Amino acid sequence: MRRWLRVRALLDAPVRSFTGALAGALAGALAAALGLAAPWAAADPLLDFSAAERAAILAHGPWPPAPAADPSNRAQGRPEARALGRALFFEPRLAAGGRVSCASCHVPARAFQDGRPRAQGLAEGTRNTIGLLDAAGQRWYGWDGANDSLWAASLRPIVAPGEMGGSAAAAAALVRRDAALRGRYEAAFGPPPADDEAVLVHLAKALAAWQATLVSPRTAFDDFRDALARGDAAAAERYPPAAQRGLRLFVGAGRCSACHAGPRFTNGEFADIGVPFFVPGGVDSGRHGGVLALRASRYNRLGPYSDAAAADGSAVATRFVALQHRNFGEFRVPGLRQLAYTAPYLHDGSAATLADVVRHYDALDEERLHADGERLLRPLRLTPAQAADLEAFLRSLSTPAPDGPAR
Amino acid sequence: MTRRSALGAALAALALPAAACPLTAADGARIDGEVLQVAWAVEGGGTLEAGRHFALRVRACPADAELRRVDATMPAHRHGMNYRPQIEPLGPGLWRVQGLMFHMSGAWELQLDLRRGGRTQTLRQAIDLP
Repeated sequence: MRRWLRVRALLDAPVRSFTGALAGALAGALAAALGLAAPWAAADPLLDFSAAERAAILAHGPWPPAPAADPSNRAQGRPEARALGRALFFEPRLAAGGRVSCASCHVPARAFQDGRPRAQGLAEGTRNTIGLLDAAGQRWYGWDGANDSLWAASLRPIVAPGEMGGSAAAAAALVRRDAALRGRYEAAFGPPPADDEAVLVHLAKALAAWQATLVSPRTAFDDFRDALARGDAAAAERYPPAAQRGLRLFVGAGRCSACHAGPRFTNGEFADIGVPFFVPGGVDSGRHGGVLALRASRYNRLGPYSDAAAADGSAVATRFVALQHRNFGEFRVPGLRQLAYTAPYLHDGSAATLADVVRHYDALDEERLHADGERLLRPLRLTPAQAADLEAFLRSLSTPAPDGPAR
Repeated sequence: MTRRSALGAALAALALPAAACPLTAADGARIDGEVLQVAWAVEGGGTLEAGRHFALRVRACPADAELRRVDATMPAHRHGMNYRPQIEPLGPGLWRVQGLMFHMSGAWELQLDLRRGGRTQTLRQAIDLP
C-alpha cells in the first residue's frame, strides 16, 4: 500500500489503475535507462522540508483570512450596501454611452480579470486588469497604488475618461431617476444627498462592500500547508511532489517569498522586476506617479470622504508613505491566488502564460534592474525541470475550476 | 598614545554616560554609541513583523540628546523603507517614532541619528526579520 501511494505521488497525478501505475514504473525505468535525472526518480511523497522551510511555508496561511474591516467605509459589511454594490457592478449606465460596466473588465468567470494584455474600457489602457478576488484589506490598490481603499479604487474607473468615462453628476442623476437603484441606495444610505460627489462616493463604497465578499477559495496548497501545520504527513503527501519542489524553490533559492509573502502571496508593496516601462506615447512611471496621485486625491484616507477620523490608525500608510526616486518603474506586487485564471501576467500583460513569467525571472536583465541599486533580484537560471516545478507550485495556488473548491 | 588622543579619551570617558544612564532592560533593545546610548522598543509590546506598520519608543542617554532621524535599510538589497517615519518628542530623552514598516523579511539595519553637543552620531542595529 505504501508503495502504491508512492507511485501515485511520483506521477504528480492520481493514478487509480494498474495501467497507470505500470506506465509510471515504465517511465521511471525509461528515464533511468536513458541516464536522465528524472527529478521524481528518488523523491519521497513528502520532501524533507527543514524547520526554516516549514516556517516559511506556514507563513503563507492559514486561508481564508478573517474578513477585513475598512474604517474608511462604514458601509462595508452591511447587506444593503452589498446588494447595491452588486447591482452597480454590472450596471452599464454608470459609464458614458452605457456600453461598459465594471464587469466588462472584471469578468467573474475569469477571477474578475478579462484575459486581455491591457484593459479595454472606452479606450485601450496601458496596464493589465487586476483581478478582484481578495481585494478587501489591502494597503494599496492598482498597479501603482494610487488608491488606499477599495472604495476609492472603485470610484476611479467610473470617472476615468478612458475606462467608464462617467461623472458624479451622471451617476447621481441615475440614482435619483431609476426607481430600483434609488430603492437600493436608500436602503443602504438613506435619501441621496444634494451633493453629487457624495452620492458617487456612496456608490463606490457600496461597490467596495460587495467586492469585499469576493474571497478566493482554498486550494491544494492550503490543504498541504495546514497538513504540515498539524503534522499530518499522510495528508501532506497528497500534495504533488512537483509542487513541493516548486514550493521549496519559491521560499528558498528563488527568494520569491521575499515579496510574494504571507497568505495572499504579496507583501502589498511595490517592486521593479525589470519589465520595460515604455508605453505608447511615453513611459509608465508606476509607483512614482501612484504616490503623487494618492497625495492629490480627495478620496484618500486622509480626505473628507473617509468615514474614519483623520487620526485613524488605518491611515498610517497614507500618512507616512514616501516618494522616492526608485519608485519610478515600480509596480505593486500582485497576489498569486487563483493565478491560473488571470493570464496574461505582469503589469503590462506582457507575459502570456505562467511559463512566460517563470522565464522572465529566469533571465532577468541585471544591468537594467540594478541601475538604481536594487540587488534582491537575480536571474533564477533554473533547469527545465526546476522551471516546471515552480510552475506546478504556482498552479497549486489555484482551484481546478475558477469558482470551485479544491478537489 | 599621544597627549592629544589621551586628552580626547579622558574627555570621552568623562562624557560617557554609562554609569549615570537610566536605561534599563524595560526600555528595550539597547545600542551603545561612543558617547550616547539609546534603547528602543516596539510600541504596544508587539513584535516586528514583515509587512506591518509599527511605532517605536526610543529613549536616549544622556536625556539632552536629540533624536533627529530614524530610518531603516536592507543593506544587501540596497533599499530602505517605503515610508518616512515621523518623530514625536514625549519628554526629555524620550520619543515616539511612527510610520515604520519593514516590507520584506530578511536583514534590516535600524538607524537612529542623535545629536548632542553639536555632534551627530548614527547608531545602528542589525535586525533579522524572519
